[in-house]
Amino acid sequence: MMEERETKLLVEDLAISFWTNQGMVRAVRGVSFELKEQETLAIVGESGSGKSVTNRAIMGILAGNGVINRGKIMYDGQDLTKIEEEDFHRIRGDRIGMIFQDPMSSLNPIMRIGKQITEGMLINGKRLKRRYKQEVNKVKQELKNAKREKDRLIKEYKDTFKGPKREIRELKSEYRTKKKSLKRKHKKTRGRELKEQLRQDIAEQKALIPSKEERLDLKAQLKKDLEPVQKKIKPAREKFRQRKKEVREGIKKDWREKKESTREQIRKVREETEKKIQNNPEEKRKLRKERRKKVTNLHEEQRRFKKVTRKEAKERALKIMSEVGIPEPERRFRQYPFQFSGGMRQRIVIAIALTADPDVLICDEPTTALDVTIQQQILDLIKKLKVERNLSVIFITHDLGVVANMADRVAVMYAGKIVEIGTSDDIFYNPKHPYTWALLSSMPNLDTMERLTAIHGTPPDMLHPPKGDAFAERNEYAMKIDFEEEPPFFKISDTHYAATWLLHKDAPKVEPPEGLRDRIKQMLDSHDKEGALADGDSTAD
Amino acid sequence: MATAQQTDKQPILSVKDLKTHFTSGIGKNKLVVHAVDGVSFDIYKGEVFGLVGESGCGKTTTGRTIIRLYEPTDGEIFFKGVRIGAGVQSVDRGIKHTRKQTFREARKLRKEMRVKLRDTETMGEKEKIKNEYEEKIEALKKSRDKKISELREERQKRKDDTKEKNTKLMRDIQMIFQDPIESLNPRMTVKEIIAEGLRIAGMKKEKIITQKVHEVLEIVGLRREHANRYPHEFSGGQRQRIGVARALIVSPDFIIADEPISALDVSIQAQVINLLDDLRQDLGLTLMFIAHDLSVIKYFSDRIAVMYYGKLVELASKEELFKNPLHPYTRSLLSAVPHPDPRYEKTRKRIDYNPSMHDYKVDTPKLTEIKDGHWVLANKAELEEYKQRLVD
Repeated sequence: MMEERETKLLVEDLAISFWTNQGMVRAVRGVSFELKEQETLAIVGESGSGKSVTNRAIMGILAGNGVINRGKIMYDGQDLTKIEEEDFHRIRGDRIGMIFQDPMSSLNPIMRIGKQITEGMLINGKRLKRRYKQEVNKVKQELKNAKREKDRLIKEYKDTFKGPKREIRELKSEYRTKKKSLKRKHKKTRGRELKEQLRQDIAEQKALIPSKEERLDLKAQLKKDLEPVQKKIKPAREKFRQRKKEVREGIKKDWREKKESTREQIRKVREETEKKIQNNPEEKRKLRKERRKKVTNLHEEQRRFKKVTRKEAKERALKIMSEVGIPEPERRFRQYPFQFSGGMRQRIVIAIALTADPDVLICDEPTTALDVTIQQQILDLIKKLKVERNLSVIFITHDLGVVANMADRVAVMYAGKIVEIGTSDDIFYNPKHPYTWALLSSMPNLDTMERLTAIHGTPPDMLHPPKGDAFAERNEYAMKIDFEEEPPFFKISDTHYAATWLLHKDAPKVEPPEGLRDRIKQMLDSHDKEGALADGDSTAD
Repeated sequence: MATAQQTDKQPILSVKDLKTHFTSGIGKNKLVVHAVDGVSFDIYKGEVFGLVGESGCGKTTTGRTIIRLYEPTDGEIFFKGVRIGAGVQSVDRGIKHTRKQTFREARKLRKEMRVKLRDTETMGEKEKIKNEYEEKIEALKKSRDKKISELREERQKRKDDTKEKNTKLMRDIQMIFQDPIESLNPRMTVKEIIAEGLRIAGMKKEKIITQKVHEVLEIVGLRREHANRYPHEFSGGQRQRIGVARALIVSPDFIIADEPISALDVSIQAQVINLLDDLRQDLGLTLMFIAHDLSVIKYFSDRIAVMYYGKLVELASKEELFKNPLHPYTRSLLSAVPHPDPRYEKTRKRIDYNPSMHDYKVDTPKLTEIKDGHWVLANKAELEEYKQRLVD
């Protein structure tokens, strides 16, 4: 069943780091997963494991000092890491919605709820502008691609001599910082070594710089390469101009027609009313009132052709508000966020995310700030919406109970990497990675009696990510190789992968801790019993 | 997990009809929030008493009122048999009530007298009746004055008890706060933070203070070197350990832990729970554990009280509560706990609680003991219903 579904979103080998005063923090270090249509993928991990950062990258809202080092995020045939900010507007919020963790801070306290919900609809609601952009876009893309190709060729040419120079500059600055950090007693010996090293490196780089004749050759080559591209650009530009003109005229024509037809209709309404008034002048007032109403409706319709009007936005907002379970939406529409309880505020946030009909919804710990009972309501709501609106959901959390409730598939993240990924049955009944074991056995459930197995230590410092397996230091099953080399993904079944050396064929056989094994066995046993009962029930039905 | 020794049932802390109200505004804008509204329970020596409820139900206020960060509006708190806090609202109301009642009774007597006077004609008899009634009214007034003076005395006593904090006794109650980041002063070193309690208690010898701080740090699993660092140098779990150490330094008997793990990461939560568990076994502490996570509460505490909007709705030992949840709110709370078990989650049915389901117009509910050690908030009709539902 899983395989038939289409892939909605594909993340491949994504790596993100942040520049800070201390150095580069490698928050995400190579994450790959795919999100299928109408499925819920839960990402579990403790704070700082990079789960939120990954999803912020998907939304294109990384902090200013964040850099995507490598990898790609494929959505709808586009690589989200490469497209420009302007194009991202059409995807963010519109196609991919996001619900944030804290409903208190994600709403504007001095803005009425209604305005906050309709804001996005009104801003994105310029229908004619949108149509123009859509129709022009394809031709524009061609032109853009050709231009990009040209820029790339020129840059490549320039890089042949600028690149090594840049490299030399960097080597020098690196040398300076290294020299500064040397201890006094090493200054003489190590300093000399460093200088020697620098000299060698610079000489190497200098050898890479092409000579004058070589450069001429390269220039000729560039000219030759540029020719076909140049040829492409010209007709593309011409085509783009023409298309622009066409589309603009088409839209203008439609708009004119719409205006005229409205005018015509209004005239008709007026004439009709005049006639009626002549027939029975006693009802003059009532008839005029009717006329006014009809005329305003027609005007409204005309405006709606151009853009989303306030009235229309309000109608939709009220509909969505009642859809997410807010009672008395008419009254609530005019209230401020402080007049709402935590659960209701989270519902508003969900409503805002839904206004644009997204097909992927990212929920970043939507229930962490809420109570158990309210949490359950919100989870049920997300589940309901997922079915009704055919959403694919990425659900970020650190609560395994919530994961069990929501997820079809689960990815466990640790220190910027996915350590285990599989269906929720795989993860909860047949976990393979020691970190998953530790997570599962560190929280008490309602039947736990024995001492909890805590994970000792703290997550690694991502300024200096550890060399081998990041979890090795806190892992009681760690082997020598864990400290030296990063484990690859080992396949357990078609849906289930884990990155731990324990699954290597040469590794010693290690079973999950006893408490966890007992717990899993207990769960499965109870299901077998219940399953038998449920089967009986279903046949009876 | 060891259960508390409940053989000697000595309540270390008992709370009687505790109320804490917060008022804001004056005149027509006056708003009274009944944060805690009549809560009574006993906590026995050596046990862990869990208090659950959703946010805003008053569980933190209860804890803070016990340690006297808030003034109780009404009710009494006894610690080791000594009253450490009391509110005067009910006494004030008693005084008002007696005044009003006496006034009413006197008015009634006067009316009677007037009727009788109208019927009689001779002056002598009239005089007699008058005297008779005046005596009666005088007696009434006397009894009123006596009652009121008694109540006033009680009021003064309560006020005195509340005013003069029994510092020696209060030192035996300590609190661990929810947020390990907010609750530690960023400008103080760990040693200063931990030693503050000792200094306030009057300890002046620097040598002993240092030694004690080191001892406590080792108890909670930190190292001596950590004493001179600042809170920001520690991770969340370690910070919460500092919070625990700060509570332990004055060697208390009773600790109020106010959601000590809800602000921590999953992998760290288990560390802190294990630490608290060790401490209570090694040091023989009594704990009041406030949380909203039922699975943690069940793992950790011996008896559990469920709170809903300022009132206790159910109180029982943990086995009993999970076997026989009687109050509908408890049942809905239990049904909302997520399990790390996907197949169970997919079939789970949730129970909704709607407070308007109770019919309390005729009969107001009371916290009644339905079974040995199992209390539930119910009126008579509900009590019968609950009794039938009990399973042994």
